[in-house]
Amino acid sequence: MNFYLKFCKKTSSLVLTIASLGLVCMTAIITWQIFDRYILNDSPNWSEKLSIFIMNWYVLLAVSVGVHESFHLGIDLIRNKMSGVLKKFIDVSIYLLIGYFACSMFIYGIALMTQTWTHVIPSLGISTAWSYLPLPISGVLIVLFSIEHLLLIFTSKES
Amino acid sequence: MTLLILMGSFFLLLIFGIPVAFALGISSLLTIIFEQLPPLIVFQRLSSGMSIFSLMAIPFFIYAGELMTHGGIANKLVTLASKAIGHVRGGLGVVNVGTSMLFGGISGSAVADVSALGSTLIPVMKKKGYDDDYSVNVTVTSATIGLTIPPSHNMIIYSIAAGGTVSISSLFLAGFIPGILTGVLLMITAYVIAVKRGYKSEKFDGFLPLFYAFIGAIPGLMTAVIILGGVLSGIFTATESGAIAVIYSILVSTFFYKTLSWESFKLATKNAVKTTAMVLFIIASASSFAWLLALNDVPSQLFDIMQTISSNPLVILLLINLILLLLGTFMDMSPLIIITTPIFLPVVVELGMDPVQFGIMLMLNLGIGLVTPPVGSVLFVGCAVAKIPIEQTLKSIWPFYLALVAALMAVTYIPAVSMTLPKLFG
Repeated sequence: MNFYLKFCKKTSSLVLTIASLGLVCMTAIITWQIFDRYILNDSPNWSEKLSIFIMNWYVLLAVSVGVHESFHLGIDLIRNKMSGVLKKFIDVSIYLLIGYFACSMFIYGIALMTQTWTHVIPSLGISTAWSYLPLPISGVLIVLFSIEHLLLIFTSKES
Repeated sequence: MTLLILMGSFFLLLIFGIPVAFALGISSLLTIIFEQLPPLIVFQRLSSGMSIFSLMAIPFFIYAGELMTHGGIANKLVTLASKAIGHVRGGLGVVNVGTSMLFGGISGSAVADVSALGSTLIPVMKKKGYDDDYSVNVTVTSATIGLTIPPSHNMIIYSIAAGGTVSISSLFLAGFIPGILTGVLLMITAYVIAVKRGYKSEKFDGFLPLFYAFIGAIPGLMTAVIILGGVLSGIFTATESGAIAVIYSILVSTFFYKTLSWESFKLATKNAVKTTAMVLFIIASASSFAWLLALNDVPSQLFDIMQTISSNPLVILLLINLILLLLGTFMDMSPLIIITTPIFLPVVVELGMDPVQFGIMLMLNLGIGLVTPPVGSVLFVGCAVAKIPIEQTLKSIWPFYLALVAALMAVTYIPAVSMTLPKLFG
């Protein structure tokens, strides 16, 4: 189990680093777009599509980091008032439901990819399926991190 | 029935503590399955709700805000405001509001505002003998000014939610006067309470230190000028202005202030990634939720219901404000903008209200929701910074609520407050 927790921590920090690179790339592309238009008098047609493509990737990847670090906003008021078995039950249900949503992200993300395999993103020249790929990837990661939380809930001592 | 499943499951999930973004997604998924539509629509909506070019301004604004916080620009603004207005009675309270007006204008995010300024100002106020509840009340309520004083990323969300028919530059122009009005009302409130509680004033340092503080703050203030200038003149789109603001913040804090190290750059980038992932994921899943509401004809049904309650536009506007305030107490701002705009915008347009004016009303209204329990992210951050329980602030926060509501009413019922500038320059 310790191995699994360590693995999750490493994975999450790697994913966060990749997502950060995404944000930096996006900034660079849009800056290039402005430079291109005003200095070189040439409007690149790929920059908007590519930066949207990157945004899709980095946001969905970082969403899984949010499950690991539990930084997604929610109402904790009632959950914090609970204690004992009831709190445990609610916490377990929360991560099961998040896991369920993540599984759907995986299944239907793959379905979207197979449906759009032959479509091409105009001006980028790659298949639209690539822009749906972060859905299943993030789905797998979220399942991974939900299991991590479930393990922690079950092994934690009553406080 | 469909609607019951959508709303019912959403509220149930929310109450038991599932993060908002997942609650929106799961309830949309359940509804789609119940209606026997292909579930893949939810994820297609999720993906397309995020693939909007003007939405990209949000990560850039947040990124620029993080860089400025870690690069020390926020501190320069605190210095400027305290040298300028610190010598009036209850000075630091008024300074707090003034700094929020300066910084909120740049970061455009109330949570960023309260965490950056609160962590600087609240300890100082504590040291000078101000009560904790007063410091928190002033800090959190004035942080909402950043939502109305441009640039504000929530205005971009509104512009997208309104179907791209409302121009971002009109919204930016429209926000100035309501933002200043809110600031002035809060300053008066802060002053009156300070006098009542007998807080002392700072001594005026003279004009030279004020001048130096101003010079020191100019590079920071320029960030807002760049974004606003770019958008209002039409040279840059909001997204492009955001990217420029990021590059500019990096350059200024590295080479001018010399406060941005490689470590703090990495920290700022990671923080920005986390915040944007949270915000954009909520927006994406809210867009599939909003799509289901529209599919089930909720906007027009609600319009009919409102018509039967009253035909008086003033009453309907009051009703809409009350509904939004209620929703705002337990839900966050960005999903509410995405979900309620398609519902209420047609109603108010029918009543003759300009979509721009409605946008500003929405910002002020939902801004109040950020500082009210049970869920108020800005209030929570403020209390966390000051390390006091929320109950302690709630006993004395009502005069500040009153000021915010007064500003909201002015924007709702007096079109000139928001529409004067867009009409002049639009």
